[in-house]
Amino acid sequence: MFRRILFLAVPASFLSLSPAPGQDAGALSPRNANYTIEVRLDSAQKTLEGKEILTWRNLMQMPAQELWFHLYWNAWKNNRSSWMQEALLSRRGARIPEEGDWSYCEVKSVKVLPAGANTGANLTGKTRYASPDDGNPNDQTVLVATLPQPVSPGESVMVEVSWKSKIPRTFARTGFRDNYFFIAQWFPKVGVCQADGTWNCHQFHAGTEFFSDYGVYDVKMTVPRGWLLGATGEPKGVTDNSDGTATHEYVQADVHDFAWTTSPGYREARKNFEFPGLKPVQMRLLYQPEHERQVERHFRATQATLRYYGTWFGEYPYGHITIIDPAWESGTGGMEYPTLFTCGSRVLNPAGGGSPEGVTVHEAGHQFWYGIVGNNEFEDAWLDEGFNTFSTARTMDAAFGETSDVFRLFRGYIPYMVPEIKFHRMTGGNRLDGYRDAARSDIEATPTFEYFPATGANISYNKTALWLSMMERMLGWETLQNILSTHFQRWKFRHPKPDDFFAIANEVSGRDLTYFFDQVYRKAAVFDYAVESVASDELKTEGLVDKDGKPTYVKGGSSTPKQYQTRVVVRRLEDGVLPVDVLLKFENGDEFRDLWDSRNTWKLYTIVKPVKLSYAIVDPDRKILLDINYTNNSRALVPKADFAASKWASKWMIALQDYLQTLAFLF
Amino acid sequence: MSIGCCFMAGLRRVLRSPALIFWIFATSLLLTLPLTVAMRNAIKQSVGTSLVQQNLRQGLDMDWLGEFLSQGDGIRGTFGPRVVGFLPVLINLDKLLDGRIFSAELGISIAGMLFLLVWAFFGGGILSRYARPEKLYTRSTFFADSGEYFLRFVRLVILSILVYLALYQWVAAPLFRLIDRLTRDTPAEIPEMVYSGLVFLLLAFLLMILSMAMDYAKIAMVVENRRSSILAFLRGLRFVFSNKLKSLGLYLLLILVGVILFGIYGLLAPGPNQANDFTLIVAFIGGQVFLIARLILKLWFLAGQTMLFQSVTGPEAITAMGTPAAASLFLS
Repeated sequence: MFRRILFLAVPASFLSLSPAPGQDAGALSPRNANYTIEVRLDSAQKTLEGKEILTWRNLMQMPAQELWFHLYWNAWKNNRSSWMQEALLSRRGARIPEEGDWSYCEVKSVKVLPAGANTGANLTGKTRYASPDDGNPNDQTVLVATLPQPVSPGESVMVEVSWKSKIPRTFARTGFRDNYFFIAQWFPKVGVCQADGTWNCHQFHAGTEFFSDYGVYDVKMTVPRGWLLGATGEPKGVTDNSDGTATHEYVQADVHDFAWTTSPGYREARKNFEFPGLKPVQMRLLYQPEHERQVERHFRATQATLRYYGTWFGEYPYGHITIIDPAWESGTGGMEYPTLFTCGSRVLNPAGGGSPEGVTVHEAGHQFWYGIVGNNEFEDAWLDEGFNTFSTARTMDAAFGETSDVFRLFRGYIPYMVPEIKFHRMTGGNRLDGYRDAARSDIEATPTFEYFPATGANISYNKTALWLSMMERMLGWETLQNILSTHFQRWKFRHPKPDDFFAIANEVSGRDLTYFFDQVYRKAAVFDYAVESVASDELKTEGLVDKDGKPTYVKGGSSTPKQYQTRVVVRRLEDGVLPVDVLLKFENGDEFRDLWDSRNTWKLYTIVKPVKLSYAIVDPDRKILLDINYTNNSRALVPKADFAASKWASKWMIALQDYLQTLAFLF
Repeated sequence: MSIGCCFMAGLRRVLRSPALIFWIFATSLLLTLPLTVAMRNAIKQSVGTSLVQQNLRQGLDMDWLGEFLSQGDGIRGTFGPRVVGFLPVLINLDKLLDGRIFSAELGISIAGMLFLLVWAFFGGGILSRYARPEKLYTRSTFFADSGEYFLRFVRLVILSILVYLALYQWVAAPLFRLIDRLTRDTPAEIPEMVYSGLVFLLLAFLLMILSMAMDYAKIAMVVENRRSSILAFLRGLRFVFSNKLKSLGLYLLLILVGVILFGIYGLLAPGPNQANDFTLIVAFIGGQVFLIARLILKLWFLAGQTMLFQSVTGPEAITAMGTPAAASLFLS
């Protein structure tokens, strides 16, 4: 088994061992998709006009005849796109756009620039749209440019693309709200060429995010003078123009995307992150004036992320990070981009309620899972969302403790926190409730873009975080941390696939975890273990027993001392099968523990002891966090639910009485 | 009669009829019992003999709650942290202001309707008692008066529901939509908060006017022996606007009492951590004391407003009730 795992691991890691041709010395990534972009924002017309020079190097062993580009903003060109059609099935995109809300990305020209066999080829008008996922002829989110001659392995091509875009009123976290602009997925972005020469360049789906190669970005953005601007990378300078605009230049190497934002309404704050053993990071926060009192909270959450993710998985390498507190109801909050991320807050946000800390940690955390380890979010979103959900819960717990439930009243403006009611990391932090409702919606191994849109996130985020937590409980945090940090170190600035992670899990743990991943990843198995019945009866014999060689009738004779026969039936109620502990606890404190393989759907335990059973519990350490009903995992011999039922029913009754009196107040 | 006199005398009148308070409170308690038993059974069935009961003894186990809510619909969906401490009071107030007070789970809606019918039934007896304090009241006279005015009050309740629904549908909802429209491009939360706050204040004011008008409509039905609910409502409105300062002043004074009462309960409302019978009983009694105080406050509204109405409308009104000798006693 180990040899087979090693064999499978080799092809996937082949590229990590061979140096990429043409790669810069000191480069962290292959840098095979480099962009030099100039763009002008027309804040009144809500348009962008841009020109990019893409220098693309073929990393594969096959020549590339075409270049495939993402034109993400065409997803919101009209209601016929795949994104808009899928949004009807999900909670996203529920609003009905008005005339000025739609967007487009119109490529004006595509030219191959001098250098090599494709010198001077003008491809304008020779491009075509493609719909590789669903064949939707109305979807224009993928543009294919066929090159006159292929790009050989290791060779590069320089392509100049000019385009004009209409900025949307925010869909999918990019767009405008008045003079607030958050610009993401905004330029024609080349897809990822695969080993067989085909392109991994999916259409834009309502339930997925993005995937692209690493490179160097040098971007000049012209915006109204005096507007604060934040972007991926580091600022290289600002040039004031005679027409009342200013051009900001930002540069960043070893990233796979570039986003930026500008608004006259931003305020700015800076702080440094320092922690022993980790690279210092300059933090820059662009925030809304009405959140002035929450500046420190944003920094603390970001610092916690850089510290804990850095020490658990690997150092954040870039030296700078930009935190964006987005405009109110801009729909751009809670999203990640390389070296820049957006949070989201409200004017009234009580400390201890998890906001804005939770979203800040999560999106900062994506710098690691998604930014540095660049998995394909179209196909394997769980590799970043699930990993990050798990990591976020751990970080929140370590940095801030358990958070409390917050109700938002009076149209959501007024928060009311119930401090005594806490969310636990393993279940609340990993979003067990959301998983339970969608446990059977999709097999996790299904490519993400094929998940049912309304419940896809419950699988990518919640389910993954839960089974990672299961691994933590099964293997121990030290081993799991080792697995995750090995995965991070081996796959940083590269594109891992699921099998790459599974191989590392087996390797680092020293165990074959195939059975585990078969259950949680390759099936939509649901776990539900239960103690079906318990009984402890005095052991009495009745019937014919042999005495002096003759069968003699005896009835109900007690033994001395008394003996009790305890019978416990445990059951597997669903199709998820994992070895699970069973614990029987007796009145005198004695314990009986067994590891049940749960291949059969039930098992009977019979134990004779001089004491009665106190309770029985399946999975006492709650290792199987995917168990959708943990209440039925235990059963006490003596029912004691009356107090709990009376307590909570009485509180509910008072709430109901209050409702009736409120109603009667009007009459 | 001054506002202060109506205010103090109204309280005295309420406290002189403890049986009234008891019967109304007991009825509301009885109405909630079937649903409470159903909820208790649902919780007990969900918990079974599980060790989770220990967690529920200490507080609210959110993991169990998620399972409980996923196990069925109906009244289960109304359970959760929303029943803890002061939160139900705030949630109901929130619903009152934005119209969701009328949309509830089916079982709760039925309980609400029944409670309104009970309220309509007792209303006649209550107002008769407050309007004729000199009369010797027995249980049979109380129920006779309740029966006398029951159908009129039912018609008034129906009219009230229609008026409030119209307020929510044709005033509240369009105003909130207007706010959404006005703030469509606003990148900050505060302006929207301010606008919404103003709308909430307006709605509170309108609810206050309508609630006053309904109270005076009921009082007019009893004191002036009116039968038409529409005319009684118009009478109530007319009374409010004709005696703006007094009616509003008395109402706001009583609202202030309510704010103090709610404030005290907000500070003392028991949380989720009762772990033994004693603390549970204390918490339950505390909740019931608050609810009795709320009931007394509502009756205080009715008593005070009755006195104000009678003092303004004069002895002719009382003559209509058939006890002209009471006029001088009332006005002195």
